[in-house]
Amino acid sequence: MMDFTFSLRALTWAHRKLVLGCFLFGILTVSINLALPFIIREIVDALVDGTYTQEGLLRQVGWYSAGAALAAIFSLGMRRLPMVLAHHIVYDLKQSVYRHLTGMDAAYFHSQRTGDIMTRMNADIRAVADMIGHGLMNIIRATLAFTIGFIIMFGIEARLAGIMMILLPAMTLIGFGFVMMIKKRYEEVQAQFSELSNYCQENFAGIRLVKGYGIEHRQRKVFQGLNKTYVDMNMSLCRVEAPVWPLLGFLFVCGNLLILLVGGRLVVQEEMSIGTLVQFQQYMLYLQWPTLSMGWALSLIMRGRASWGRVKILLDARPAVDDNERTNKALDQVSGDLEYRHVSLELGGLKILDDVNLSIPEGMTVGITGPTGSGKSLLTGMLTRQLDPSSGQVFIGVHDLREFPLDVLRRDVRTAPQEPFLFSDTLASNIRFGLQASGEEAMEWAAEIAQMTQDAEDFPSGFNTVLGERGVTLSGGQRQRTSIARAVASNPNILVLDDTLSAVDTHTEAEILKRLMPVLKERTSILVSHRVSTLKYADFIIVIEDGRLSQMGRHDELVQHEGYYRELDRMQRLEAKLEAIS
Amino acid sequence: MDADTSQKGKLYDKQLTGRILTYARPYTTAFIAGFVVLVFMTFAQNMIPMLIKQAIDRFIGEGGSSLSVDQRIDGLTRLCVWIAVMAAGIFIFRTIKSYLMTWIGQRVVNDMRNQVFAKVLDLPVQYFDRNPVGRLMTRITSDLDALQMFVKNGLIGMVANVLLLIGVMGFMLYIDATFALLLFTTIPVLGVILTFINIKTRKAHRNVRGKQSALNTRLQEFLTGMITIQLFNREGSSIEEFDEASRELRDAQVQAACWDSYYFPVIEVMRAAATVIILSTGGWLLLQGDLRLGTMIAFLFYVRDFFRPLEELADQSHLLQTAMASSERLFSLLDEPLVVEDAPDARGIESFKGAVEFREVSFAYTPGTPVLEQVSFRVDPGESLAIVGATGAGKTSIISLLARFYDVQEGEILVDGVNVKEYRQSELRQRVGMVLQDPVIFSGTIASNISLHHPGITREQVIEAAKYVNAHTFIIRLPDGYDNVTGERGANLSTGQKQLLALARALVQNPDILLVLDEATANVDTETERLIQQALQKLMQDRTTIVIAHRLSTIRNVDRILVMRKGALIESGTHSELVEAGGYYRTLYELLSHLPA
Repeated sequence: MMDFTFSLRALTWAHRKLVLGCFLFGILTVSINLALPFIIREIVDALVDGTYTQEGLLRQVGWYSAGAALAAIFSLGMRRLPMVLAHHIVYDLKQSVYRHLTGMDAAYFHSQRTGDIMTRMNADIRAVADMIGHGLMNIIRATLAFTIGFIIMFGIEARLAGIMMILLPAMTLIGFGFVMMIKKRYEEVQAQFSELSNYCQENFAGIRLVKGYGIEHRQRKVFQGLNKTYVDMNMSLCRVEAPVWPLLGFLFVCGNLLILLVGGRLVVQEEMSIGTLVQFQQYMLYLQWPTLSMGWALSLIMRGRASWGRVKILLDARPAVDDNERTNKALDQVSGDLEYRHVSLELGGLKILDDVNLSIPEGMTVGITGPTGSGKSLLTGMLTRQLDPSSGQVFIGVHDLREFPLDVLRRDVRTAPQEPFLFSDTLASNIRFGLQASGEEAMEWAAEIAQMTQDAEDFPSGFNTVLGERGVTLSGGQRQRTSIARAVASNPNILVLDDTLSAVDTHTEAEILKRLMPVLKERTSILVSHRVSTLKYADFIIVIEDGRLSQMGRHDELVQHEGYYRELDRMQRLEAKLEAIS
Repeated sequence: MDADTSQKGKLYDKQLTGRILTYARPYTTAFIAGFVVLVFMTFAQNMIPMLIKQAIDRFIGEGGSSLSVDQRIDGLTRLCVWIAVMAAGIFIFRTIKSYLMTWIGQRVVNDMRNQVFAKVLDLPVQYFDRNPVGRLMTRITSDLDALQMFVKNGLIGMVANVLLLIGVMGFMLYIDATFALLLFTTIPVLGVILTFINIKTRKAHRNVRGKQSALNTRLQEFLTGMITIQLFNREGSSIEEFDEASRELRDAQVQAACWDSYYFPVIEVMRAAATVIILSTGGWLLLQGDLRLGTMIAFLFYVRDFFRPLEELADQSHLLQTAMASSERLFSLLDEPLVVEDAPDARGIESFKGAVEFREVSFAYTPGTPVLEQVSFRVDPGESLAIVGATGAGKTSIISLLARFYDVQEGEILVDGVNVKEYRQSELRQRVGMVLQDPVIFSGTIASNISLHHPGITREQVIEAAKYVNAHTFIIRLPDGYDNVTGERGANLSTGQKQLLALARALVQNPDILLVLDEATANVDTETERLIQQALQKLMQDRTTIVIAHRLSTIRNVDRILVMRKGALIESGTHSELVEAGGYYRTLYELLSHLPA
């Protein structure tokens, strides 16, 4: 709870000028608006007394006009500044959350749904900003209006002020009570609505089943039922909601009536002037809005606090992989032999990798294969510290991976994953993605190696063609080749190609490998693949089955022995034969 | 910004409005009731300042000086009772009005929602190939929502405000025509200013929506690609890019806020101006003895009621615009042609004997890229047939065509000697059971997922079917057995379990022809795999069955095998015949027998 107020306070403090402005404009607007009825009283009383001259009237009206104009200008500020404040807070919070997210590890992103994070960064942050911008500001404004208003009113006529003193807070309470009552029913309506849309979603997505079983009429009937319940719930909400504003309006008229009745008596008994009566009527009208906005503001604050809780969860999450006290800032290059020592990995209680020992001398090209789900990608993922081993260590040279600063490690170890993520930017920017400088030459070189140059020439704007929804949609093979180019472009010391050629045909595969080989030979390279045609190029091949290293050797050695690799080889020969027939 | 978020609808479109009104027609009585209530409400609302005027002129102020204090207080109290009655009347009328508005809005949209849902289910499968589910969801959620707002606040709200405005103007004119006319001069001024602000505000908000969607697109991309960003050390530049988009949004919002904030001060100024007119002119007239004090005070009240409908009308024109754009999209969905339609004299079906024939069928999803070419084959009643071939050979299309998800371009498909186009679609599909590749599980219970809410299927039949396909064992192990909740909030079923449920579902409907998409699925453990195999064998007995097969055990057990390659049939025969022939199937068979388990 301390934390809650503390960091929000810091956030607000950063915009103290705006907050101060809100206060200032609030006080000014409220004060002038409360002062104006004095002029009305003067005018009315003078008119009733018949003591007025034309000049006197003109002077008073002049004062009134000037005051009203000033009030309008101040009220512009009073309304504008809280909104501006809210938008600034939204911006600040989004920025901090995003900055924080860039530091989270891969496991975190696998465990979170993007949609959830988006909701928190939009709706929840918005609610927090509204709490500060509108909620608090309204409460401050209303409090000011009440305080100053009652001081004035009690100063003029305590009995009438007394009536208002009882009436207005009661109305705020009633208003707030209704907001809370409506909230529950509103949530029920929302829940039923998600039920309804969920039902649509299921039926639309499963349309082949719905049609395939010819059950459209039944599904329609169920939908009509859900729809009817939804309408009924809306009407039940409406039964509470519909009378709220009319009732509050009624109470205000009653307030006015009381003022007229009590005030009228006082006037008749010559204890008060008609002007004063009119003045109180004006106050009643003016205080309407603050009275009601209090209830609304309170509900905004409640909603904002709940949202802030959800935003805090995002901000409080700590990455499992990060630079820490083990980090050796002096290490500025990743080089040396690569070694996995007794590496095991457990995820969600399952043992994924079990005591893997593997040593790859610097400059070697290693092939890794094994059935789907055997842990190959996790093994290579450790090299860029997308995750750390549960036990055991990975060394490069004499250093444990965890000693390298993350940015150094990720600069010198580059991966091209099987399902690469490309950004909706130009092809060139995607290939240049990992380069520090603009590197036009490196980009073209890398594209050449990955056989992307020809493809780029066929695109409308060559390398400057935008990829993705708003541009050219790449085929699976093109995506993979772009990803290879991206990984190669920065000339890393260690290169991991994680099943990167699965979507290209065998002919293109051979072409790419031909050009890639010299590049692979210049550094430590790891080729994860299901294809013997790719694995053949490696200096040696390891097979991982059920998290364990089961076979190791050169291609020609492995095909001699019974085991996974030989089966793989046989199957792929058959496939080739099938392809050749007819 | 795509077509869904832009709001370029015309402010008023006669044809569109006419069509929306047809949905309101069944509720004409409610509309009339609402109108009557509105008239009463307007009257009561405008009576209050009149009564206050009376109170001041006759009892509180000068006019009362000829009466005794008691008489004045009596008179005042009497008038106050009347005011209270009026206020109570307003309360009741406003409540009824608000309730009626919601009721009509809900009813109209309820009707329309049912219609849209029914229409979507009737749309041909190819419509779903083209349109993502998300877009359809927008139709049935936000577009209908906009329409509801329009019916509720637009249709009735606008009428209400016009009526209120006319009412208040009428009363003002009645009390003091010159004075009233003087005040009416503020209307055009306010109108011009509000319209100007409205145009600016709307433009600013459109800008905000554009920036918002740009930021969200970017954020979505960065979040999904975060791991890539990290692997290439691009956190810093992504923060900068996010910051830029975020700042642009903030600035757009601040600008929109500036325009927004003009709204009320302008009204306040106009109200103050009107007050100044009342005070100065009224005061002057009063000094001349041409006006009574009560009139002036009543006008101070009217000024408030006078501006409120004007404010709301400005707001409602915006609603109207959004609703027009939404209803245009909704109507275009409702007008979508069905393509695959029942013939006017379509036949009903009691049951099929189960003879299936494809006669020189050619088919393409998109013109120019044929999926099937001149495919002909026959299946006798009770026979089981497996179709094998590489991915993209056109196997799945055969099943889709038989169920008439699409119509063929050439040739014909006959069931029991009759073209499928001559049957009623829904009855055809009820007699042709399908087991799909990726089983769909609805939110509901295990039992409802098997029976699909068929009223004629008893719990016993559900259990019997589940036992028959080996699903019973895992079902009774669930916390609530057959009543266990499925779907998003329910128990997570494994892929294998879902497949078993799908088999039970097919069986319980007791189809005359069974179509099975039997893809080899990953993540099914060997035991479940065996259970699925067994169940499939049982289902195929004595039933015309077409299986798109990938499992060797399935293929071995059918009466006949068709081999497809690139949209054409290349081999056909029993398993042993085909192996002996040594063609494509032979190699395929060897490959399948070497697949790792």
